[in-house]
Parts: sequence; structure tokens; C-alpha cells
Amino acid sequence: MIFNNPLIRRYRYSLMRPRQLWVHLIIHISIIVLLLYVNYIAYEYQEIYKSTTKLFISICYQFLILQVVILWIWGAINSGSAITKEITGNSYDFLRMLPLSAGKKAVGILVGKNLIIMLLAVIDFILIIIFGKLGQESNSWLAQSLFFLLSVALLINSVALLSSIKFTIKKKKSNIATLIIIFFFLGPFIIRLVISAMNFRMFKSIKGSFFNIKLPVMILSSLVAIYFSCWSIIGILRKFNKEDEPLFSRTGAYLFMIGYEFVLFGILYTRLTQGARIINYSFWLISLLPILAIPLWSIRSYNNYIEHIGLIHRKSVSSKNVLFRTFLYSNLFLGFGLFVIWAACAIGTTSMAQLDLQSYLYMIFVLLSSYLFLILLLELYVVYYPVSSKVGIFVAVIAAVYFILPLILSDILEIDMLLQISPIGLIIEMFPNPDEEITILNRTWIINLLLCIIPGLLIHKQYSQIFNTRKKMKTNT
Amino acid sequence: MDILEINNIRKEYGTVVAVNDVSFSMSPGQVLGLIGPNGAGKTTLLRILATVLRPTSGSVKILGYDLKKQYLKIRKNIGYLPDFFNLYNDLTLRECLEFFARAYKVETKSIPARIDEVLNYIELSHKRNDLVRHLSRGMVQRMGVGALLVHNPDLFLLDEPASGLDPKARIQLREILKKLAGEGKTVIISSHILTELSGFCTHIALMNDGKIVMQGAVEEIQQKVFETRKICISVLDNCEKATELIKDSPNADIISVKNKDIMIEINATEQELADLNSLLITNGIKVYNFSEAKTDLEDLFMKISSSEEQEFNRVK
Repeated sequence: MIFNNPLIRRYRYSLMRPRQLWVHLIIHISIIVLLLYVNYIAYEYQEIYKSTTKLFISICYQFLILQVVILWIWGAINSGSAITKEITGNSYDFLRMLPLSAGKKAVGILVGKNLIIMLLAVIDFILIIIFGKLGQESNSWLAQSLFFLLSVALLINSVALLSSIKFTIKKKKSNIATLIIIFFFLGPFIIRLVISAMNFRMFKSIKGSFFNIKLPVMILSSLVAIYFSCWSIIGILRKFNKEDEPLFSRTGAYLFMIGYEFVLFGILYTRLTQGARIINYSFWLISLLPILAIPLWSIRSYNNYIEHIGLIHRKSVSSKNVLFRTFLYSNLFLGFGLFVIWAACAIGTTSMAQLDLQSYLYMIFVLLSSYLFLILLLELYVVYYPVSSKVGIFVAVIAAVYFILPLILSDILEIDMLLQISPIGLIIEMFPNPDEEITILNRTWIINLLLCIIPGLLIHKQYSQIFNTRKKMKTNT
Repeated sequence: MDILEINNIRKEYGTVVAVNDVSFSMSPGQVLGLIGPNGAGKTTLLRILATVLRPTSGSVKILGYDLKKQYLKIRKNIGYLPDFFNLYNDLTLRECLEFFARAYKVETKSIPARIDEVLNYIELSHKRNDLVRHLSRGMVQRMGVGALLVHNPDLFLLDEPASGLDPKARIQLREILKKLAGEGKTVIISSHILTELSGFCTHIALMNDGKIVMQGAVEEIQQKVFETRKICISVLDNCEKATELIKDSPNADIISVKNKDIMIEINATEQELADLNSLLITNGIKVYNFSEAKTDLEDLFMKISSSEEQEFNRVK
């Protein structure tokens, strides 16, 4: 039974003491009463609603928005603060030591921290169903909306918990300050959400497709959210079990990349087969995102490299062998692997869209040269971090210059070729031009490869030092 | 069967070797004092044993379970008190202990009785319905031990349990630890305040620079390190004459003379000690105390550390 989980019980004790519970319930009921009263006034005296059905439908959607605030925003704040609170409260070691599986810990925190939210959400769900039925909304649409709400809540909460394990904040910040900051940024979004609530029903008639399967767009979005929630939960379990290791294992990184490409390919499949260049471009663009993000979540440090090349218990290892083994273990190799997966999928979609493959292969090559420089910058940061912690700022400045300076220079000097040196400019230039068969890219790859020389040499130097470091450590032992 | 078996464990953080090829084993009922200066690797070693850190290499078996593969089973059977910890401030003592009891799968029916037992043990029964946040630091530390006791583990790992406590709280905690030792529990307790460990450690291991430089039963190590005996001689009068006589005896060195108390270090058998006592009396000195001063862990630590330092300088 899920409620036998000791962590849920622990949160039940601390969060659901009668006084706290009553305060939450009274505030929530007051909001509900206020909302109903305002709508009644609007209906009775302002004549905003033409019929009672429209009034009920409107109230139903207003409760849906309230539910969004409760489950997506309040829930995310709760889940996101769980581990941070344990760390700042110095009780995290006890949590780690509990003889509970990582799964039980994850469920315990996600459910336990959100017990009050779940109680309030149940009240809202009942009201949504009641007003939805009074507004003669179809059961299927209500079920779809609730399914969407819950699946996105699962995604948001699991990502929030994962980030609280991964990015642990040492100093406890004021909760009020955090809330103000969140509302400052999310406020306009919430207001917009309220305004667009009435248009929410437009999704009712839209169908999406996954390969050849046609599905209501809400169901499709929910399934995608659940898919990524699963990855997020896998991440949580990994971080509970192997805290000192990066979020993605190598296998996990490749699998996530393949899965991501598969999901995206499935969603765009029917349009790709119709030969749309713009859809092919969209696929290229969206599928590029993980090859930029995954290496950041899979960083192995220089210390990891030194530990991995454990010469101490080995008899004879040559320095060349060490260099090669370091490369296989490195973040660079992962970057290449991810790019190969992306390139294979990009070639696949281009062939499917029946576009000129040769020109697109050239585009992939240009992109590779740009990506290579970025991944070398990342590796430069990794291998020089033990030398100076400031290297991060240095690398970030170079990356920013690489992204922005060519855009400015190309505009000032009116040289189009410069634009394509920046990855942003390159992507803009690759946008399918309706007047031309294929976008022509300049030979910017030469400049990119020239840029790679210095970081490449510096990285090689640090890789070579691993052998000597291990030898020195072996002698000391 | 050994309760703990450590074979060549090593923990590296890049080029820093925090624990360097440490090996030892422990039988049930032993109380091991892990002593060493700050940064010696005590906390890292305890965190490895507590399954919180993974060793870079080497193997550890706790209660026959492999540390790398069966860490969940190990966690069920050990109790680890970290150096800086806090319990759940928003729970009462009873709720807190109930949480630990359920997490460690103590039989549901026996939980209330177990909680009472533990609260009595740590002498906090009167605070059972208070929130943890209302406890003093010393009480929280005792409560920390209580949280471990609730599932009655086979091995206790206590990392600097008395650090930051006032003398009264330290004495209270010491009494609890003595009780544990007296009950035959297997305990590893780390500290750099050596008086904390005196009196209830059966074994000690001295750590320095990630290595265990000396280990064994307390008496064994005392004998190894202190080949000479410390004797305290108290005389009623003629202190100067007594000092002269002692100086003339073979293998005796005077450490200090305070009022009428003479502290000496001597490499002698029991017969030779008796002869020295007779010599003083026959020379008209009224001896009212002739006893062997006990060397405590503090002396032992200083002695080992200084010999380590001398060895280091010699090699250098």
C-alpha cells in the first residue's frame, strides 16, 4: 500500500497537523466561494454569460486553471524544495541511508510533499466534473483534460524533484522571496493562461498523429509528457543510487537521444512523407536540442578521467593506450556519438522528404564543424577546471562571442559568410528558402575547424598528463 | 565470523587519496576508536562503511554482505551517525523515532514499545511529544543515537558524536556510548578528542594521511608504544633526597616533580619496582604512594603522532 511508505507517513505527520490542514482548507474554500460569487455576479448583473450552460462551462475551465496553479506551480515548488530542505537542514545523510529502494524514496517524496496539494486537487477535480457536466461538456473531453493535467503535473513535479537533487542549493533562500520571483516571472503567463482558457476548447477538434496512429492532441501531448516523466523518474532513481555520478550514464544518454528522435520522428512522420521542407527543417532544429543539452548533463570531470585510468593495479600500460582510453571515456566521445545518432536521423528524414541528400550532407558537415568547436569548449572547461576554477567564465565568454560576434560583424561589414560562423546564424541561414531548391552554405567549416585547433591541442596536453599523474600516484603508493 | 572485513579500500578524489589501502577486520562486541587529526580520512572511511560513498577500489564486507552489491541489506543492519546532522525538526521525538522504525522495517506491533525503550535509554522520555526543533544540541545528539538504536543495528558508525557539545552534554552522551559498549555492541567511533574514547574503546586505529598507521587492542598498543612505565611516587618529606636516589637507579627518568609528587618513567620489572620502593624506605623516606599512572589515549595519540613525525623526518 502506497501510504505505508515511511516517507509519506513522515510528511503526513509534519504537513497535515490539524491546524495546518484547516488553514489550507479554509483558504481554498474561500477561493472557491469567491470564484463562484464573482461568476454569479457576472451572470446575474453583468450579463456576460448568455446562458447557464455557458456559465457552468466557464466555471469548469476556471477550476481547471486553479488546478494548473495547484498541480503545476505549487506542486513544482514543493517537489523542487524537498531535497534542498533536507540538505540545508543537515538531514540528507539520514535520507540517503534509509534502507528504502530509490523508487520508494522518489514516490515517498513526490506524494508525501504534495499531500495537501493532492487533497485540494481532489476537491477541484470534483468541482470540475460537476460544473463540466452541468455545462454539458462531453465525458471524453473532460477525461482528456484531466489526463493532460495530471500527466503534465507528473512531468513538472518529477523534473522539479530531479533538479533539486542535481542542483542542490547550499544556502536556504527565503521562501517568500522565491515565491515573489516565481510569480514575477510566471505572473504574465498565468494571466495569459486565464485569458486563453476560453479558447482551450479549440483543442477538442484537433487531432495529432504518431506515425500512422491518429490521436486527439491532448492525449498525444499527455503521452509525450508521460514518456519524458519516465526519463525524469529514471534520472531521480539514478541520482538516489549513484549520487556522485552524472545524471546520464553513457548508455542512458544514447538511449535518451534515440528515444527523443523516435518520438519527434513519430509526431512529424505523416507530414515528412508529404515532402515538406519546412517540416524537415523543424525536425533538424528540434532534434538538435538534445545533442547540446545531453553532454551538459553527462559531464565527466577530469578527476573522473584520472580515476578511470587506474594504472595502480595494472601491470603495464603505455601512454598512447592511456590517451586512447581517455578519449573513449571522455565527454568528446559522447558528443561525437550523439552527433552520429542525430546525423543518421537527419539523413533519414531528408530521404523520406525526398530532398537533395547530397546538399543536406554538406549541411550536416558544416553543423558538425560548429558542434565540434562547442564540444571542445566544454571539454576545455572540464580538463582545465582543476587548474583554475575561472576557466568556466573564460569558456562561457568564448562561447558567447562565438554565438554573437559573427552576427554583429556580418551586419556591420555586410559579409554574409560571417553570419554562418555563428551557430545561430547558421541555423537562420539553413531556413528553407521558398525561392530556392536548397540553401547554399558557405565554406564556414574551414573557419570552424581552424578555431578547433587551439582547444584541441590544449585538451591533448591535459590528456597526456593523466598518464604521468597516475604514474606519480602509483610511485607514492 | 567477523562483523566487518575491509580489504585494501581506497578512495580517490582526482589526485587526492583520502583513504589509502586500508585493511582491517572487526569481531562482534569490539569498540574501535578511530583516531587521527582533522583530514586524516576518518570521515571518508566511515562514509564508505555507511554505504554513502563508493570506494574507488578494494572490497568491504559488513555482516557478510558485499558493500558494492548488497548495500541495501547493509543499511538495514547498521546505524550511522554523521558528523554534522540534524533530525527532522518538524516532527516530535515520538514521530521521528516512529519514522525511523518504519523505514527500518521494525515490526509494526512492537514499534510503540520500542520507542518508549529508546526514549528511556537516551533519557528523553519527558520530551516525547516535543518537536525536535525545541531540543538543545546535546539532546539532538542523543536523539541521533536514539534514531540508530530504534532498529537495533549490529554495527554502529559514529562520526565525531560529541563535537560541538558542552561538557555536560558530552558527559551525558559518553554515558550512553558506555552503555552501548557495555551491552556488547560493535561500534566504530571516530574522534580527535581522545578523552571521549578513553574508558570504553577495546581497540584503536590511528589514521593519518588516509592510512591506518597503527591498530590493535588498546592494551596491546599501549605495551607496544610505551615500553617504559609511568610511576607516581608521593613522599611526606625528603623529596630532594628521594629525587637523587631515583636518579641513581638504572633505567629511571624523572618526568616531573610537583610538591611532593615525583613522576618517573622507568623500564623495569615488578621486582625492580619493589626494589626501588624498598630503597626509598630504607633511606628514611616516608613513601605514602607508589603507583603506576595509567596512560590514556591522549598520551598514546601524542606518542604515536610524534614517533610518526620522527619517522617522516628521518625518511625525508
